[in-house]
Amino acid sequence: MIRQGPVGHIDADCFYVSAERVRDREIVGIPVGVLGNQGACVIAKSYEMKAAGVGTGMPIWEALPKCPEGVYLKRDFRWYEVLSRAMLAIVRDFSPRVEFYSIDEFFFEAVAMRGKTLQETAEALRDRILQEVGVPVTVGIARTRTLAKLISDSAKPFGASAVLDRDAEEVLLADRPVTEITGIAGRRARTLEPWGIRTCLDLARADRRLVRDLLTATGETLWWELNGDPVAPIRTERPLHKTLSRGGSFGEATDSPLILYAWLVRNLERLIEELQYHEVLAGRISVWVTYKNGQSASGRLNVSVPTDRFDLLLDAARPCLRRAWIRRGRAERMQLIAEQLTSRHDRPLSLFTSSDVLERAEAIAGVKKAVNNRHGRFAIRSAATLPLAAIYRDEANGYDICDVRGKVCF
Amino acid sequence: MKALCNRKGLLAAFGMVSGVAPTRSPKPILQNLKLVVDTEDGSTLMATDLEVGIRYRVLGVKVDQPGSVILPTARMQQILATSSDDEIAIEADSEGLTVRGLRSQFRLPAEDPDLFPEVPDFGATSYHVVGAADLRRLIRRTMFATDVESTRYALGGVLVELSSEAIAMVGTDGRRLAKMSAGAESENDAPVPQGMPVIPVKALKLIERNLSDDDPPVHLTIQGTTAVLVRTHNAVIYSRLVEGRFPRYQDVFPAKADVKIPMEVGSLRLAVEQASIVTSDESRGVDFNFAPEALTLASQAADVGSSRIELPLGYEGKSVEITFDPRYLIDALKNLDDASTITAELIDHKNAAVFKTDDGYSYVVMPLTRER
Repeated sequence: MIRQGPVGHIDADCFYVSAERVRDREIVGIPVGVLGNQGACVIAKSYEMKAAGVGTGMPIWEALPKCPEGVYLKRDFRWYEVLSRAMLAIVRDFSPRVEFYSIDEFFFEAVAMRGKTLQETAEALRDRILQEVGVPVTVGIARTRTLAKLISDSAKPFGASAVLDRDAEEVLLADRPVTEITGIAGRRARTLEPWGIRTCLDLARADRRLVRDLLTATGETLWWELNGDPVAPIRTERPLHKTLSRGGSFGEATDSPLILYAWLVRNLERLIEELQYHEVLAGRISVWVTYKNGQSASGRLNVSVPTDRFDLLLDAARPCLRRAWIRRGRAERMQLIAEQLTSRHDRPLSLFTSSDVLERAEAIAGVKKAVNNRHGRFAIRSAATLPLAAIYRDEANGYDICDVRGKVCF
Repeated sequence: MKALCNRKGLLAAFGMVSGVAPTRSPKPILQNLKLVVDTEDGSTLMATDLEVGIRYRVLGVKVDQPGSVILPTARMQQILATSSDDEIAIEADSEGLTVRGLRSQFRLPAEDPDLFPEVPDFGATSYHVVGAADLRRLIRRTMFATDVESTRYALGGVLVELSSEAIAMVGTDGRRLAKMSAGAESENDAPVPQGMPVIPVKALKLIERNLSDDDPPVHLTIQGTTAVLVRTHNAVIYSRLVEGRFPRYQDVFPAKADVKIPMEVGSLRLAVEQASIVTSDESRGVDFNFAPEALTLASQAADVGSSRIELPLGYEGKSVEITFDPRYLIDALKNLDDASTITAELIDHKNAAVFKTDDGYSYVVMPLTRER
């Protein structure tokens, strides 16, 4: 039984940009943008670039006229993960219980350092991360994780704030629109609006039953948290996945079945890595394709027995893609999802596959994995991915945010 | 067309037939039912989605003017369900459909009955004859083991094997396999079907719903390699067969089992259900330890807990430890009579286990692999 004490939240300031500045001091103080998939969009920007009017998600061709003097860099998740894990190690020095929430955000049980207050501890943590990792962060400490996150958001950049008494909390909550709470975006905010709930304090003071009616159990959780009752725990281990998926934007829309198939195979090879990492097998596969005109279509099929075998999963994924394919539609995104996950250690055997076949297939998969471990990811890959040669040549595509493992959130 | 229908009889017919009509179809007429009334041939309610079709005999219809009419499924069902009249008058002309009760009248648009696709009737003169109760049991004990989303094989239905004196049905999803056999008779030298006819699950459910244990025997015929027709006491059901290849299932039965353990179905089912309480999506396996005098079931799942259930056995042979997904066993056991006996035939933790009853049922389950 764990009784939870105060909760800390740590959030790196402009993390991708800060990470780039750690290895290149010449870009400190000037506008910097980090570009996502195939360099098409700005996925992170420095405060200087934000001041020039560049927003997150903005296409490069819109960002450049607004900030022509900016430095635009391709993302490098391998490097960002190195720094993220270095920050995580420091937080673990300060706390016995840490949640690796995302690549640049952690929650932790806040424990005051010997002879220091929680406010001084927050400052010490912030300063040590800057000193040892080189990344500026903001730290918030409060009675619950929802309050801690609101406090760190309000203390940015490079802030440190511990707010633990109700009066100070209310001042903070009164000042923040309800949309600043993670989990309350446009639609939920519009649901609350007719009831006069506009600020975080309005939500905290609203009738609990009303909040539950309007926002279900998720909303009620936030209500308890805003009122200082820590009902959302710190998850020191990532909960087991219900599904695993791989996919994303193609960068350039396509109506070529050959290219779509190449993406399917690429995503499948990445998905299999993930299944093997988590030691689970997929019982069902689904494929979603989104088209440039806003349409989307999907297919879903069971595999004969839960598996992580390339041939069996491709057998299931291929007809799924056929169902998700709209002739002459220009596809721009694909998501391949493994469902009905089963532990590899509790694996059902097939009535119709002999153990010889299974062993042979596993031996082939083992060789592929061993070669790729030794010579680099995708050194051996399916020939069906040849139409995506340019994607494989670009190292930035070799490691994605979803490849950073152990995070609770995406 | 003009007829006076017994309301409860027609409502019961709707209950049997309406599930076949698709709720959405590119051919909207399929979303309706067709009623044919005739003084000589009787009255028939029909539905089809072009894969499965049913002709259901409607009793208690007094025919003023023979003919046919297209009935909108949901509205007509509501009219019949909410009325308290014993009889309902249905009249159709080129303008539409009128439904009348004692104090109610509905005027509904009606489509041309000639546009409704033909639902095949049972025209065969040589066919197989199966007891209604047997056919119900055959379906119930095999249908649950199918996999309607299978990719490799035609597992979305049940394989039917017919000979001059027996019928067998086989359902499998690749991890477990259920086979049930019963006696059958051949009428007029009914031919043995070609290939491996697999009846889809939707048709099996429909056939099963149309059967009562005390019904007269059922007639069944396979048309070439494409369709099956079943004639029950009140209905003729047509279905296209599942396309694709059914796996060679005979090979999954182990040639010889070292251990044979008889158990009472009800006690085993309760023990398995208890053991499955402490399993999770991540840890589904229950360890079955068949030992002299007792079967011990043990399960353990992180964050859920653990369990240990004992079931006394009158068994004296060697011990076998094997891990099963309890859902697979429960699926089969709940379709059996609790007081009956089931015999587990086991080899070891890596080979398929077979559970048999003495009324022709065999259930093969692959164990889960588990590091021991």
